[in-house]
Amino acid sequence: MTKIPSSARFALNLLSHAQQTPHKAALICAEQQWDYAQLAARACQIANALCALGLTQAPVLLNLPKQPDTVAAIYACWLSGNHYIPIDYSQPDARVERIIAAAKPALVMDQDWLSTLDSLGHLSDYEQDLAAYMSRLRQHRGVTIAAILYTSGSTGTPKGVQISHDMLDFFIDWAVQTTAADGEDIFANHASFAFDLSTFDLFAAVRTGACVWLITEQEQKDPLALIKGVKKHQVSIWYSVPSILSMMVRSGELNSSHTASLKQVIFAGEPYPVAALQRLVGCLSAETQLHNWYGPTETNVCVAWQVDKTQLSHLRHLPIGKLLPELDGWLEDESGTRLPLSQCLGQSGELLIGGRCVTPGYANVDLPRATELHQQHCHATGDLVELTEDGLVYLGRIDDMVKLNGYRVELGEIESLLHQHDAIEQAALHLALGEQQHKLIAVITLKEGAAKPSLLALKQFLQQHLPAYMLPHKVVVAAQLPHNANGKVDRKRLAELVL
Amino acid sequence: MLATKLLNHIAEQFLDGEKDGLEPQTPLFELNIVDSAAIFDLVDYLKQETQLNIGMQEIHPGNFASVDAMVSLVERLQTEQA
Repeated sequence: MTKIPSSARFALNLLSHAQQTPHKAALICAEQQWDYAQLAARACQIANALCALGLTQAPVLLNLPKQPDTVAAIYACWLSGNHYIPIDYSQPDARVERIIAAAKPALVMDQDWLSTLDSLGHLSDYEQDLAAYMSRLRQHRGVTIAAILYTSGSTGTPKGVQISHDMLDFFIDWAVQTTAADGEDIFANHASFAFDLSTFDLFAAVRTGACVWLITEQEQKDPLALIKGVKKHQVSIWYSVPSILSMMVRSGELNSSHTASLKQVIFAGEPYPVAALQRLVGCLSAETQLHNWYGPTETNVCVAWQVDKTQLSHLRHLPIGKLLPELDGWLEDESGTRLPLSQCLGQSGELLIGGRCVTPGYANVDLPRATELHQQHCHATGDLVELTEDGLVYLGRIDDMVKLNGYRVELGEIESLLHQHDAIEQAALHLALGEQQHKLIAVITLKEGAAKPSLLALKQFLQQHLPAYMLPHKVVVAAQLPHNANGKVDRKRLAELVL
Repeated sequence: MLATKLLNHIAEQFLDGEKDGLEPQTPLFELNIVDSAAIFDLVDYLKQETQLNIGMQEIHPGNFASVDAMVSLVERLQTEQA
């Protein structure tokens, strides 16, 4: 028997579950529940339409909200040998238009398109479709791209990161093993489909035959809806950015009576301040395992650390941990000297990653250094990390590294210390560029009932840990920090708060 | 009192007007309240308040490390220039 091409594996997983456990729940979304047979039938119906349009290896942009139809459309792209471009439906129209302009999709699939498909009304023979796609998928040749994720939130042209089937296959095989996921699990899908975090929930579930709770755009930032959903749907595996978990903790409603079903809580996308993580641990059952996953969209998860709860009180930064098996890593210093991680204990530098997890390249832009590295299955993350005894520790973006009076300042380092202050809930640093002098401005939110600490008091607090040049010049109290569509603190928008 | 005026000035200029906790001994450089560039602001302020001539040789961090240090500097210059 010939080897199944990796481009066929996830779609074949879906069809197999539809055959073997047709009535098992595949998706839950608001009041809807779809079983595997429904999901596969809808995916085949849409795939038939894509085939009828003559699309092959073409980008299909899904201008759709988070809903079961959108998941079906993703599998339809794969069944028909195409790839999907998700967009974050909560974005302003102008940004969606910019992504469409950059992506030049062969087809924009939206609600109207699906309605037209439904109005045509001729349902194909599902059993026949299933068998036909099963054999057709095994013959897919030359299909490598699964999706293109356009990075949002940055200025200028969005970058389209190509995600190959092989990247996903590598990631999901590792992730399923690490989380011991199986068909009985309920995954929470918090992230937008346009965010690489969503690839874990959606595709680990289809690999194992489990169920995914799709959290809609309306529920995404509503802590009480999230907490209620965890309990109602008996979520066993949660994956999101730390800010969302912190927001749930802050609501005061997260406690072990709601979280008893959670076996794994995984976070990624930004550093989780240790003190904030400790507050989360207090809201979870003692059996819940926590994982800190790291990786830019260009590599998806490439470094991971299972949280050792007993160690937390000793840690200043949460490690991002170790390279996933089979991957290579290097640290590159400012002079361009690159050393393998095995020789880097105690050193810091830009993290470079090599192996199956790396993107084949950007779809729409050519950045000389990145392109050359991508051709060698290598990606320069732009992240400054240090290799410690506990594993890799994230220090900040190399391009977020600021210079103040000639000193290198890591904004993330100041932020992580501010999080340890008793009165502070969240903190982010803004660098106000002056003609003569730059000013470091700490934007903070306060814990409920806490009084605003004076600037002097904060300086005295930080002075214990930081050199003088890293002490902020100003502190601004905000009701909340600005977050981008993915829930990360948006440093670029801090400027609006400090004016 | 010069010390009180200096405390008010420093709180106003460098601490968002919050005077609480600021003492004559509070180390101004170690807390990044003033840095080497801001010394000149303090020099101007002292000249204006005291009508003293503060020569370049006096402008080094040791003389501006705290309100106490600046008060000592002024007292010494007043004796010398009397």
